[in-house]
Amino acid sequence: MLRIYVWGYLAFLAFPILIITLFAFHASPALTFPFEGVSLRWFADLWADPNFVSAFKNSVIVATVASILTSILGTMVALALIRLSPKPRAALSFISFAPIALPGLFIGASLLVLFDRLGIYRSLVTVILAHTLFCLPFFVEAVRSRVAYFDLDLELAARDLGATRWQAFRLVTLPLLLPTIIGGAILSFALSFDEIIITVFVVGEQSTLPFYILSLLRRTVTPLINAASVLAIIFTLLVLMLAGTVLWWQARREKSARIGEGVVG
Amino acid sequence: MSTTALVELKSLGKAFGNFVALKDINLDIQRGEILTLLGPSGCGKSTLMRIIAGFEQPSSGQLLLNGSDMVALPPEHRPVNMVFQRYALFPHLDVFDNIAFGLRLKKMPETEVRDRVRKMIDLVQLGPMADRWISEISGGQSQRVALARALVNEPQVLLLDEPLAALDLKIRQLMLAELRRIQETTGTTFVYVTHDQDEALVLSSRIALMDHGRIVQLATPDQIYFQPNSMFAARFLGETNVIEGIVTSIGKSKIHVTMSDGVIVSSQNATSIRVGDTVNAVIRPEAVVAIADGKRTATGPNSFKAQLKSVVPIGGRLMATALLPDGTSVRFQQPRLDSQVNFDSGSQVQISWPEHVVSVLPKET
Amino acid sequence: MEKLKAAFADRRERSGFLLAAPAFLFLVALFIVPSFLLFIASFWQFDNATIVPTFTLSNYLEALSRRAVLYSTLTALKIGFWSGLISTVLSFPVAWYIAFKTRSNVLLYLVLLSWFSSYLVRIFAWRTILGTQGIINSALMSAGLIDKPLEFLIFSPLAVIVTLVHIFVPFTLLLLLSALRNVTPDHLDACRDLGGTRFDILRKVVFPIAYKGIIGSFLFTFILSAGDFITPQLLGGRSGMTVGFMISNEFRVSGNWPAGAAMAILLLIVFLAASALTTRLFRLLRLAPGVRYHPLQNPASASRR
Repeated sequence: MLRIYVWGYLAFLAFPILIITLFAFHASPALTFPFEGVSLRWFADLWADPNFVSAFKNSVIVATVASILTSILGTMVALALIRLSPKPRAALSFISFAPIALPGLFIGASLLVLFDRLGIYRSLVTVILAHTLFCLPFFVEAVRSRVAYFDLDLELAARDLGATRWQAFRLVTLPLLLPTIIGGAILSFALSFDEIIITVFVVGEQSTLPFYILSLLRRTVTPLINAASVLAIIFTLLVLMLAGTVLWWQARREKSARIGEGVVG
Repeated sequence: MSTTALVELKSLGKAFGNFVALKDINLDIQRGEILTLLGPSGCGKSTLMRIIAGFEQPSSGQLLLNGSDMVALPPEHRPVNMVFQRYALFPHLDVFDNIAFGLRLKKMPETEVRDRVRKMIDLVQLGPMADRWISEISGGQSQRVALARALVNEPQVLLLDEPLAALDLKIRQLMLAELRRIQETTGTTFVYVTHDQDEALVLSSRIALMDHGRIVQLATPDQIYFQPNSMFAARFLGETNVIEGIVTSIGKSKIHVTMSDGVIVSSQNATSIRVGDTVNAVIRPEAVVAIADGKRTATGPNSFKAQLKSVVPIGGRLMATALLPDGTSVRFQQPRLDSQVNFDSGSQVQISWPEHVVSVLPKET
Repeated sequence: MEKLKAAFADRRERSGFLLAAPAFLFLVALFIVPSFLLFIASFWQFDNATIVPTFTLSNYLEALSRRAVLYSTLTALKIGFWSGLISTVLSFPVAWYIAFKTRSNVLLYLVLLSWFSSYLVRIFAWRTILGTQGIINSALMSAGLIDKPLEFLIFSPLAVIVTLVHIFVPFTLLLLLSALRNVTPDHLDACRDLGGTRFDILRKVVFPIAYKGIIGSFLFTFILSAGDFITPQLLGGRSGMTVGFMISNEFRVSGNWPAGAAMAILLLIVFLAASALTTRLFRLLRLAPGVRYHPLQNPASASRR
């Protein structure tokens, strides 16, 4: 019984996405069955649209920079959390979680007011700052449970063996936490690549991919949206797979290092 | 009071797919006793307990309580309660409400619930802890809460699943004494699962020693310790010396086993042994008497010359290993009153033991 | 020795503060300060398309007296309530299945994968499925079951709720799952052993222990759905006029921030009240942890929760 339900649940999640993917390859502009043949024309149209190409590029830039910023700030927060005594720790985890407990509407509106008052023009920079703010809580939540298992005595042991503070971090802490940090960075990238609710408040003249799709959605129902969506999904999946491969490779290297047989190449 | 056993297990079996967890279990549990299911991990003792509790269904056989079949009865309707290994206390309730949980599920009037819970809290000596949250009490106290939460329902059988495994040594010894006291006060029948022989020997009225899904020996702690019926039983409960030999005669009350350095005589009952069998003579180290060779007395059966290989003082005891001429090693123990060591490593000694401490067991294949 | 240990703890704490500083400053600059700014802006005045920083309550009075604000708030709360409830209820059995019935995490990964397919993509997907020319309507029409498209499928609260549920279900699954991991199989067995039925197990053991995740997943979805303005706008038709949409319009179209800010603050107050109410309700239904059901035995030494 429960098994059947679980399958139904998965089907509910997957069905709409499969439909979108299917119609992205539809030869006719109609978004209904019967299916009238396969074609890549929508992808070609999309590629010919300079607005799409620049939006896609902008999204990659924004997501890359935002995920790097998030990873640096977030890793520091996670490392701080295991060092602080309970009260400051609670305060820090509260403030670093709060931004996602509120609808993006609040964050977007208040950033809009802030940037305007400070006289900052809306551009990709403001989008990057907003995305970093949005991704940071997710990053910290994703990383903190793993970091909680990190044994601070390992750093002390390294210091005892003559490492400087920085060496202890670079040679002990960072390698141990790297897989977790990479995982968090990828999550941030995907979140930023997809963010729209806050973006509509802080975006300038240079559009991001979701903003471009939103403008298409507002205007008409066109299969171009399907094609753009499929590209967005494929891109996100590629990034995730890349991350998975990196993590898998890392785990394998660690394992073989433990067993004592070096990896060839 | 009827004369039948409280719980009867009749040729009970349990299989998980291809894996046979329990085979042909026959066991009577008597009213008011502490019956221990003892065995190594994976021997089926926990499965057997879960079948009695109702969390697992037997694949075959019968389970009777007071003579009536219990198999179809779900756990919530069995007059049986359980103390879990990791206590499984409810973290959202305090000590008092944890203990009251079962009574409230039975819709007992609240005044009676509170009355009974208070009495139970006194019995397990948790008075000052009644209002504490589960996160605020120690392991030993959690153990008492788990015990009280089960006992307050006045079960006919209380099942205890390795209840002391998570406690450290000192508290474990204290809790053993407490379990005994509480059992004597309430008179509840206990079924106690453990892999710890010491707990089993201290606590039990009877021990059911289990291995590979079977009951190997069912007997009192003394019988099982001094008269094991198998090499498994002998080895599982404490340290033991094993000397291989051949049965040369089986008399009315004596068995003679010959080995290369002499003859061993046992006055214990023989089971499934015939003359000519290769057997193991099993003797506990504390039953072996050793004297320095200079003061040697008569030789004869159960008396051997030996060379001391090692002597290790352990506080008030002396633990020594001696080698018989054919190379068989025999460990023995002696009490020690002061720092003096009566034996030198390498010296000759004479070792002997009485007939009644020797168990003659079929050699394992 | 004690002194040495204290010195170590002290240095550890200090390095903790140093590490936290950049993120803390970032959050102060981009979250705390802007939030206060939004609050302050709600008392400014909007005059002749310019913003005058004064102090006036007129934005609040205006917002509270407009029918459109009231109705759009009710619409938003209705959408939020049903999205929160349905996502939580839908995810609970799956979380249960993952927590107690299967050891593998494959299912979880599959669900998380769907999380990474964009928000807008899903809105568009449901528009394709539910639209008047959509898959469901055209299928029903070609099967001859209906003559003209079922209008209520699209541009209705139904379409909005279905889409929001689809968007938030992975979140609720994660929250519920991590909460259910606090319940051990032994807890379930212990409850049955003490005489509890399956329903008792759910109500008296699982809900109180997993309370945080259950409340969290409902409130999280409720607040984010009720505050959403893009899904209702694209799928809700006339019912898409949620308060979130009105607020975003004040900021992005008419430029009347003070009005938008006042409405946002009011909405925030409604959210806080709804959260408090939900928590309260769980306590009343005895589904919350940390409540005693007996008079204190040792009133002097008991600690509060």
